[in-house]
Amino acid sequence: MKNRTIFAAAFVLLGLLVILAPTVLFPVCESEMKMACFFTKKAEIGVGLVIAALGVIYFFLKNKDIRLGISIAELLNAGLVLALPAKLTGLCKMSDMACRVKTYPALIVLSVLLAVSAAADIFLLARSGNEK
Amino acid sequence: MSLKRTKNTIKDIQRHAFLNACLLATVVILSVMLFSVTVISVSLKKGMGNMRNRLGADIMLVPKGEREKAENMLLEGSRSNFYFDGAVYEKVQSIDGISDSTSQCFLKSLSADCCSSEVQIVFFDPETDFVVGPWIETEYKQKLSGDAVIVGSDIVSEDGRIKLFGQEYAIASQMARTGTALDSSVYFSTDAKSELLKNAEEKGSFLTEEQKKGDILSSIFINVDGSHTAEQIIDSAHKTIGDIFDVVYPKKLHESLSGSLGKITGVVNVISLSLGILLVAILLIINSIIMKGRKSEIALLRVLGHRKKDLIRKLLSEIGLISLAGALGGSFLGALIVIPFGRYIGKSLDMPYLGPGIASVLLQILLIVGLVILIVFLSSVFFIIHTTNIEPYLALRKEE
Repeated sequence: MKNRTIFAAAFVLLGLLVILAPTVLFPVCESEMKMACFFTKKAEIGVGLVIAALGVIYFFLKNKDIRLGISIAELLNAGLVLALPAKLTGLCKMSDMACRVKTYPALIVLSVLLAVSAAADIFLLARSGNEK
Repeated sequence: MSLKRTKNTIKDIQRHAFLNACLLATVVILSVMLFSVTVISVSLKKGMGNMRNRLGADIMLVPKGEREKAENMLLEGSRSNFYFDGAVYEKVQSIDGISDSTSQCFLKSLSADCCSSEVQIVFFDPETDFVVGPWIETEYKQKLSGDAVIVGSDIVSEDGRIKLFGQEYAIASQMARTGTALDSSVYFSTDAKSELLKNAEEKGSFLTEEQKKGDILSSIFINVDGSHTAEQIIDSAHKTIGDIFDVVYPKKLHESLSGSLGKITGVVNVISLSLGILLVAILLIINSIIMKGRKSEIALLRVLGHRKKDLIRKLLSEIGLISLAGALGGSFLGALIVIPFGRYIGKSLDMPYLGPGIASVLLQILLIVGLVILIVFLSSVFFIIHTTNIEPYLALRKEE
């Protein structure tokens, strides 16, 4: 129960931060022209929503196997959080632009934190499953 | 330490979970702080060292009234447009006492096709240059022709070409990072100037009357030979070309910037030192509480026949494991924050900032892990020895 609450809270919080990072906390470049980082922002909002929603579902589930599956999905989502600005949708090409200076580092940090917490949960759930 | 012993140590740590978690948290904060402070100050110093190399000329002549712009350009790499007539350079070259001289011409481009913001275009003369050259990472053996460019480290290009004013240019080489906005400049040979200006005009970029003339330059970099002083050269220049220029002393600029870096690192050092002392004090308090709480346990173990030496080793290995985990976790957290945000830190401090490479990060993590383990060891060893030295009879009696 304790672990479940902690990890669910972590997933929801990180999901919300993934939404807030490119929009409010470390916003991408402001421009009338729609640049690459604008689309990355939109995509990250979607991914962040999925991460947070999975966190909420995780909280209400008692079945360990399903929770394990959700954690694996969160781990893959962590990869997606990073892959969007790095490869898929990209960022502005000049490295002194706001999206590269602020948003990208914030997303790297969030992605690593999400990956670490998902991996920790996978480890704990797999271990407790084996002990049964 | 064998695996079984490590498992036992972990179990022992879990038995006093709350206090050990406090100890772990303190160690993590200490390591995050140590790691961030060292990485930031090393990167700022590296950026500054790079800056000194870049400001490689004794004096720099710029058009009258443009000194401030030129200084900002050197220090922060802000983009500027100011011009001399092209003929000035030849006159300056004839002055006695100059060992090296070269000229550059700046053109502020309104958004290049490559990039989402404006880039600074710099024309330099590869024959006489001594300012740009030291920054070029890879050799560019072929003569920099009209359709090849050197780009700053921040210009991203997937196919080795860059598009400016509708024209594609091959990238001959990329410069090393300077940590300033000069990293987003594009360097052309002087020969390409007239064609590029023509293209810019055709593409609808606004050119000033001066820029339209074509035969222009923005600054002249001069190194003075050993037998003359900078003042003598400036005097002769006044006589030769008249009172049309201001002088910037790049090396002096560096000194003033080093001064402000000194102040920043001074403040950071004072803050981190006081925070460090506070954290060590907290460590001492936690260790004393932990050992006080375990007095009877230690006494019982001694009654049961454990040797003092074994008990000290057991307690030290617990402390060692906690501090190793804390130091590694703390350094990782510090790296996670400081390394990606390096450019942001440099930008907000308005200082050249060159982040560390992987090797130096690993070295720093190793050093910090060692240092943190040493600090935790020193802060706990007294309490451990004291507790194991108490006579079991006294220790158990006081607990009653």
